[in-house]
Amino acid sequence: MLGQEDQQKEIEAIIKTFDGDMARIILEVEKLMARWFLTTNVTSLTSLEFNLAFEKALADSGYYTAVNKMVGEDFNALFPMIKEGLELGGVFSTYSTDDLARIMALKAVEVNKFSVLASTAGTTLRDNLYKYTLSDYTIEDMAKQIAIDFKGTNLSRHSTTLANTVVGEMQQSSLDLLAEGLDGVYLYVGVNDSVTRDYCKCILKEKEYYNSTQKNQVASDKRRQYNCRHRLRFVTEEYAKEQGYKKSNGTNC
Amino acid sequence: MGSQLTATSNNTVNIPMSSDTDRIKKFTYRNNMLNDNFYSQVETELNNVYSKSMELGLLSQIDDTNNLFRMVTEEISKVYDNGVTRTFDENEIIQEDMTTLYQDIGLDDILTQSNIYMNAFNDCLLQVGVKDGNFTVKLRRPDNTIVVTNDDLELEEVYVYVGDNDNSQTWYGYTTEEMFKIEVARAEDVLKKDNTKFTQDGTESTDNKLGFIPFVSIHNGFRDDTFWQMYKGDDLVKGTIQVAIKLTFLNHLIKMQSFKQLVATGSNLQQLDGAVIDPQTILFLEGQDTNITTLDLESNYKALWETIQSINNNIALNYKISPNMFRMSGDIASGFALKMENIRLDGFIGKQQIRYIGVETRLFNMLKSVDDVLKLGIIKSDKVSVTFPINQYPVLESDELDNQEKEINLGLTNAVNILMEDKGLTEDEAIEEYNENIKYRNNSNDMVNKPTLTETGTAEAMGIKA
Repeated sequence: MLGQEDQQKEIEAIIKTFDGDMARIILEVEKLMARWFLTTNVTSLTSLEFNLAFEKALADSGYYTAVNKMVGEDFNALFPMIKEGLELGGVFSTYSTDDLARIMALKAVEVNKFSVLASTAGTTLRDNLYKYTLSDYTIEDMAKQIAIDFKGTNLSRHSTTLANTVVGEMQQSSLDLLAEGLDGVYLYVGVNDSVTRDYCKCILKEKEYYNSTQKNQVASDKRRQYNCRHRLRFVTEEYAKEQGYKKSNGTNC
Repeated sequence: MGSQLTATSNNTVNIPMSSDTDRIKKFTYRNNMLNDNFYSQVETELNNVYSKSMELGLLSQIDDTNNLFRMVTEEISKVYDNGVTRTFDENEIIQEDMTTLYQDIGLDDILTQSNIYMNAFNDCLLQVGVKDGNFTVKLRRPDNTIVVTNDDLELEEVYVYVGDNDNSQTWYGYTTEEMFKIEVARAEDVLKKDNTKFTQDGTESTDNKLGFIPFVSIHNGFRDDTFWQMYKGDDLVKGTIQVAIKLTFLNHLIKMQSFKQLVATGSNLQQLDGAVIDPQTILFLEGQDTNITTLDLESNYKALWETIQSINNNIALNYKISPNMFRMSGDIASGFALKMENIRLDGFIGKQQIRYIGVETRLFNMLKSVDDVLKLGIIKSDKVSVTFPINQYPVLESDELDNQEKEINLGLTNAVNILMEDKGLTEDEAIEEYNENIKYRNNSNDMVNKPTLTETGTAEAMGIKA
């Protein structure tokens, strides 16, 4: 509906590419960390620089390149699809240069989330390594333990989840920018399958259309924070009624 | 071409040196040992030291797999290991021509082999010849050469064994006046004055057109009383045979290592039941004050093995070789540690290289003299200058980088100089590469700190002209 399925497929393709990149990057980072242990005199003092070595390892392995590519380039495929989807809902609009500036700012914010993910992991590993140096671990034991600790960081475990969330946020924001200042309502659109959250199932079942305030409430509901595949799509009220949606008085979900 | 002379002696090393024949016999054995052919020498010595060796079946268990003589000789013969630099002339064409000439003659290989012969046999000779208008250089050893020298140990006559011919030996002789061939029954007949002289194959007369003897002698030390040094290196030869004998005994003992021998004692033994031994059989010994015990031969095996290791190590140290040469271990030394391990050997090889600068110079002078007399026009330069590079030891890359970093910090060098040395760049090229590298490094640093996003693609996708 409203081209949402096509957009979702495109998003899944973007995430799949990023996921593949991250798998390679994580292996490379593990190798570079192992090399750091072989070539560094690891003491309690030098351990405090581990986060710098870790960030460099991420850079050398292409982490920031992969993030920039996903946010800065791959996502761009969605803009024409978003515009087309809007037109399917009876809304005709174009992006302005102001919108471009805001999108670029948004992209920078989203990219920064990955930087924070990286620096958090680096800090955690640094702090852990410092403790190991004080506990008389052998170099081998430290290297092994840090490798295990790295696997437990959000960077290693949840970077793809973050990517999903980031791309979803950018898509919604792009939708909202295009609809700004126009007359219309919002519909909750997306797949309803076995992995759809209960909250989303409920909203979809209600089949209501929302004004801006209601839309923001639904959008910011914590129950749809991660990996949500649903979007609030801007359409004319006429289109919403034609599709069988009724006006919302506030969701009961 | 090898020596066809056979040697018979009850001792293959301590041969009384009373004639050229004795010397040839001794060094024939050495040459055979150098070529891993010393089984008969071990067999002879084994029979000498243990008369029961045949009854015990030791002769069929001779172990000649540990050729210490060859290993040590090759290990100390490293004059040409890192190559050699010969400078003939400033003129590039002459330099290239002379370098090509030396390559065509195969002089690097010949001189490398001469180094091995010098260390194995103490002395050898390079013979310069001409065939079809081209130079030839051949190596002559103590086991196939007889010389006559003056009081100053300068060569007056040289005889080279060429081969056997029916019941006689063929030798080529060289004096300042003549180059000829003789056929003799034995080596001790070579120096007889009444030998009939024939022309050498491929020549028309016995005249020596050169007027000098075309041989360059190579010695592993100073010679003041004899041309040939006949005893140095006997310790290595004997050590090799002794190790082979001990290994043979070890082969014999190893069969019994897993077993024990029963010893039954008593004042008045009557009967020992259960003579067929298996673990489930109980032995009964009847008599007074009886006792059954076991002999364990394992300690003999270990003691013998340690003796062999000790011989190897002692010989290695005597020849300035690190005992690590004999050990295969996972510990790999590099850089300074390896240099220290080889410091004595490096010193020894350095001295040999100084000796070989003299050999190269004399060889070049010989080639030039032959070229001048025969008017061949092959030798284009007047002299040669020879240098040998200093031995380099692999250094861990990380150690090398650490050292460079320290040198930079102490102001002893800088990154541009390092680039110039490592990559052979000019100063301008090194500066350009350094600046380029710094630019890329800074760019990648920027990517770590500030991920850059380009606006152009986004604008185009949004349908905006940026």
